[in-house]
Amino acid sequence: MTDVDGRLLARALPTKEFFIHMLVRDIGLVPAIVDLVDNSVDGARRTRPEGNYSGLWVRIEADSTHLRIQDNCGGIDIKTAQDYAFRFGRDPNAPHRTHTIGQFGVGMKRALFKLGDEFEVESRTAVDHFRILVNLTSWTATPDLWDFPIDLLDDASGVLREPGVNVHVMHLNEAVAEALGQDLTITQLQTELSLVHQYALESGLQMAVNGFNVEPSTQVLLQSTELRPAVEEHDLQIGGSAVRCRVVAGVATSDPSSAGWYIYCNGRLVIRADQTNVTGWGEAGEATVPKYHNQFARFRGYVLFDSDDAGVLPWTTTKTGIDPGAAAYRVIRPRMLALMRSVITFLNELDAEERPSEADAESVVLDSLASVVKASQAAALVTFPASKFVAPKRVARPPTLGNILYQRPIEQIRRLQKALGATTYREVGERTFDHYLEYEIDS
Amino acid sequence: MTETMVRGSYERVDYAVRPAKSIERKMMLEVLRGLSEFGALRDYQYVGFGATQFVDFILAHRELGIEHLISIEKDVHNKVRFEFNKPFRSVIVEYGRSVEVLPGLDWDRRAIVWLDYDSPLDLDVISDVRTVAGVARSGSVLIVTVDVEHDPDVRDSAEWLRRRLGDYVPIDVTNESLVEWGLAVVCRRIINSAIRNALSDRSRGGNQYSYSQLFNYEYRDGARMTSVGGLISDAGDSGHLAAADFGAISHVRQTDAAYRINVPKLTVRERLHLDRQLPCDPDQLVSDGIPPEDLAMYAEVYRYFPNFRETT
Repeated sequence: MTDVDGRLLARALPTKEFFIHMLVRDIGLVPAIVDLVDNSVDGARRTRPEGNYSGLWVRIEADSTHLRIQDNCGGIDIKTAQDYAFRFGRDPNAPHRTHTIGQFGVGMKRALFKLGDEFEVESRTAVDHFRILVNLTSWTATPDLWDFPIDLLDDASGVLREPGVNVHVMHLNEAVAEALGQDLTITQLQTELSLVHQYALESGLQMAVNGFNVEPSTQVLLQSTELRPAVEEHDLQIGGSAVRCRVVAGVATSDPSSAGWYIYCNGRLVIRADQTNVTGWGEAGEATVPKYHNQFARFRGYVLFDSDDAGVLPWTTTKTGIDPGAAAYRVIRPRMLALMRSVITFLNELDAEERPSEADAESVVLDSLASVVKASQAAALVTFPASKFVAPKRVARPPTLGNILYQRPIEQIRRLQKALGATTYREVGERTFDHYLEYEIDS
Repeated sequence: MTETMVRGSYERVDYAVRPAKSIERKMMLEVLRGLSEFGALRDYQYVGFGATQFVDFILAHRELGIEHLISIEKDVHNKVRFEFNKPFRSVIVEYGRSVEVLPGLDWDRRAIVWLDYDSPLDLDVISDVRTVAGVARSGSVLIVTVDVEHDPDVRDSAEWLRRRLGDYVPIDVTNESLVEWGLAVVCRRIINSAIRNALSDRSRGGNQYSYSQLFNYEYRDGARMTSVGGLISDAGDSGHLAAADFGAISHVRQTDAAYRINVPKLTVRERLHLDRQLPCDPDQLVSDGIPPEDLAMYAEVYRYFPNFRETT
């Protein structure tokens, strides 16, 4: 073919096969399903801008034969479906959808292509009712036709009886079918949803996987009159858009697998329990902040980014990571380091303290001081007033006690245990020490 | 951490005198004979936890002729005692925890692996299951036995299980599903899933592996126990699988419904008397005063019944 000036042209239009193949490689199975659920949560947000989602639900059915995600969260209107929702990539002219999770223009398509080769999306709003049915084999067979036909539905057709969306993958890809047939995958999906969508779940959105309710996984921070998490609020202007940011750092129960930083973008958890340098651990060769180790198993840090323009939030396209180069993150990260520093200092002091007894000294100190406050993610995290990190003053005892730690053959220890009538190895050490001191030194 | 936790249960339970377990062993043996379809049994290796009694090893060698016998022993401080108690020259004791030892064994040889844990299902067990299923040669058998008794101190058993096993616990498990033998059902489900999971990962490499459950037992000498397991085979061995006709054995269970081993309490005299009438329909058994349920139970297990005699 030739262009307007009569020059020959080399074809550059992408092939559908390439698109499908490259698109689906970026994302894992469970994140892909979560991506689809994100759309339902966005629907809830559009329907209830004031933030109370009670009465709204998302029902997920997944097994080796099919996947269905149905919601009653308002639906996609036909104009959006025609012009924007099914394009690959975000149309710069698309109406500004405020405060969404989905914004890269790729999530739904990528997820659907990953999951299967035959799927339908039915949508119902107050005004529109339609369905898009796609068979990828047929679609791929028509290389130059990229649009999906829309079937208009009358009131009684389809499965939706109230405004919402029904995404149904009728024919799953083989690997997906196999994975969804496994209990472990289903449990992982439920766990992921309970973590990632804590905010929406706390706000009343009901979610179920195969009929089983998804409970929000709650974040807990210890707080009392003497112990308060560090909290900072920032209002940023990034690329012409306002970004609100709240950073919270504090102390919770000792649990290495939960310790670290949690970052939320528009209420959606993006990274959890991060212990890497992305969130500041080991910064500047550990000069600023040490690398994570289990001494810090009580540390919890939360960063909540909120913006009407989801494009300036610092997440990756799969929403499973942070883009460290994003402007919003570059501004906030130093604040994370500063707040983290004060909590780490406290945890170090706690660790260096002499142990009053065999029992875990930290627990004894902290539990007696703090009343556990359920910091249900964005809800309560949002309400903590701004403050510096406040912790009970370590009792400034001059170091009078030291720890003696040594090993001896068990057989010898047992002999002494018997002779002394001691119940623990520790007691053997203490009493032999005392004995020598009394009889050999002090007399 | 007290001393009794370091030593194995072999010092607390005399394995020989557990009648239901003894029956289970013999039933399993009967099934294992079918493996001769895949290759000479003599060339198999038997891997298990022999402790000091090595009961299953003795059976494997005597009844199946297996000469490659590997016992995994975690009590590394008492090697002398285990070496002394080895029943045959060809028994090798590998010292260390199963998670450490299993990956290093020779998996080119077909294996019968009976992971007979004294303890409840935990992440180490699942790890072992995945290790074996991930490497065992086609024609190998994996059996897992775990304690499925309830801890009376635990109130929220589903929550406890989830803390112990994390995402391996299916989402539909509730406290109700764990009462009585419910925990056994869930544990078997988790173990089977782990096997299939490992095999499906393996099958990505081109050779298609599958798992045929053959063993599904429940019994209770003291604590409730369950055993689940089966054959691992690839596409090339499907003919052998059919020829072995494991399904013909009455106690083989290939679905989720377990075979419950019930042991009636009968005297030696009563058993000899019944034996002379067997095999027959249990209704036809003639006895003096034995309850009909016990007669029915005996008719099922008489061929595997253990003989414990106190000799003076």
